Amino acid sequence: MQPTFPKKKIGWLIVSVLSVINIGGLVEITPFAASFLGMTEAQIQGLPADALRIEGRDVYLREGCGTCHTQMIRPFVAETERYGSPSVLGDSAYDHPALFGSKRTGPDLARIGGRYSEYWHQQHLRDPRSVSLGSVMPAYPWLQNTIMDGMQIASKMRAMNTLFSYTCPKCKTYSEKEIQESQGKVRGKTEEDALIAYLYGDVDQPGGLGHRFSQKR
Amino acid sequence: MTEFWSVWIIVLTLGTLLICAALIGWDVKQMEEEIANGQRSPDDFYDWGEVTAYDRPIPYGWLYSFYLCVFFALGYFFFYPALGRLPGVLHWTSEGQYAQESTKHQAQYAESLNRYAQMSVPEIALNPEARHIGHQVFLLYCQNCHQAGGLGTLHYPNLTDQDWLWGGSPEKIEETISQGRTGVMPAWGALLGDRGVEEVTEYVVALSGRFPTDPKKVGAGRAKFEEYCSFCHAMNGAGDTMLGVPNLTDDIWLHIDLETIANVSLLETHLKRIISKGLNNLMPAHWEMVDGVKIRLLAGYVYSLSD
Repeated sequence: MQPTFPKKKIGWLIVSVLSVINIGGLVEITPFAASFLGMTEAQIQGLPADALRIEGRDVYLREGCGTCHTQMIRPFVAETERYGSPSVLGDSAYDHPALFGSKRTGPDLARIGGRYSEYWHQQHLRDPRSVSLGSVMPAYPWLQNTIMDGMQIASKMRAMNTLFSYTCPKCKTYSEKEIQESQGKVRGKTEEDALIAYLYGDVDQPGGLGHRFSQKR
Repeated sequence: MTEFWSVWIIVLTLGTLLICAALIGWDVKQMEEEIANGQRSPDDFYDWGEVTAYDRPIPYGWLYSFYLCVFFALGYFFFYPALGRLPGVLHWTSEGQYAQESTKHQAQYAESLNRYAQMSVPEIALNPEARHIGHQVFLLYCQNCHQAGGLGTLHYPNLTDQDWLWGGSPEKIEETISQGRTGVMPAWGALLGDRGVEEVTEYVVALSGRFPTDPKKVGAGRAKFEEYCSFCHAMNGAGDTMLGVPNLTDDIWLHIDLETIANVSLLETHLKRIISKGLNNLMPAHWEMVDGVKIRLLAGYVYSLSD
């Protein structure tokens, strides 16, 4: 009986572990990326979000809405009865990053667009309990006071264009005119306006969250 | 998925699985041979000071359960679409499963819902079972705004009273739920001017009958009201259910909580804001979300609330 050390083939151990983990990535991620790149125009749902909705999406990201809300309706009747038709690949064509989420403390939001009035969203963001008794959602009253200057929106849109061109060659991109006009559309609006525009997904304006049984707009 | 990615997945998946199985088998065999040759003792151990551990081949129980997992995986690959584009023997797809599940669901519910398809809204309101289903639908789609029991809250109408913005007949209720309603009050600030807004405000306060008002201002406000506002709100301020225009002469106010308004200046502030900036009132359309019979049942429930 003598103490030994794992002296043999330690380099091999490292290489093997790394390769097993990486092969998992190669099997799961690369084909998905390839199918994303190969997305046909028919598969792509909706249009890139307009200037205000990009800002809204960024507020959604910053406030961590995705921690409690998913944007991914799974193909089970129990979900589709409540939230709408199942999410498909093309729903996420213009989402960078995709806000699928993984935990539902609140409901799924993938097709919340048009379901509540903008007024309701406003009240609900300022004081969730005032419209939804027993809700555990935190209030976001400061959003109504943060006025945006829109200094970054043009570069955000350019960045989105770059992302679209790499990830989804068939996707539409923002025109130079849209980018030039973007700051005027955002300046002076509050972050609450932007978030509501994103959540409401106005039927006449592109972007934002999807409508229930129609697809994303 | 293209041919290339399909082959890529098959090769990598099967390759990794078989290499792992071969590796652990080879390792255990190697160690056992070394023990048999006396190159290694089963009592050898690693010593990291605080932690020591025997350096032995893994127990057979573990080894065989590992092999069992490999066989399970191979079986899974055979039956289910795990390898690239190969569909698997069972031809299972998540879409297929969903289609099957929803067909079953629809068949199951069609049976109970179609019983009510021929019923009119007032009949549903009187039928306890149908009303119960309507209530369930209400809880899912309506209570976030109209609150439990349809009592409403500030900005969302009470459905249990006799006062209707868009009409309370069974047909109107059904139409409201399915098509939605958009009530639009334009902004009058620019047209009326500050003084005009103030006068009209005074007149509306007088209509509410809650607070004493200045008769001179009310008279001026009344003239302006009749000129600009009466087109929708009617000459006497009684509103119009064709346009969803509220009655300003009653105690039921949608956007201002009359019960808790303590003084006239607070009421005036609210009214001035609404008159000068305008107000949009939206009830979302539900035909996309709720199918025909359910809308009828829902309308029956709502109709029953006001009786």
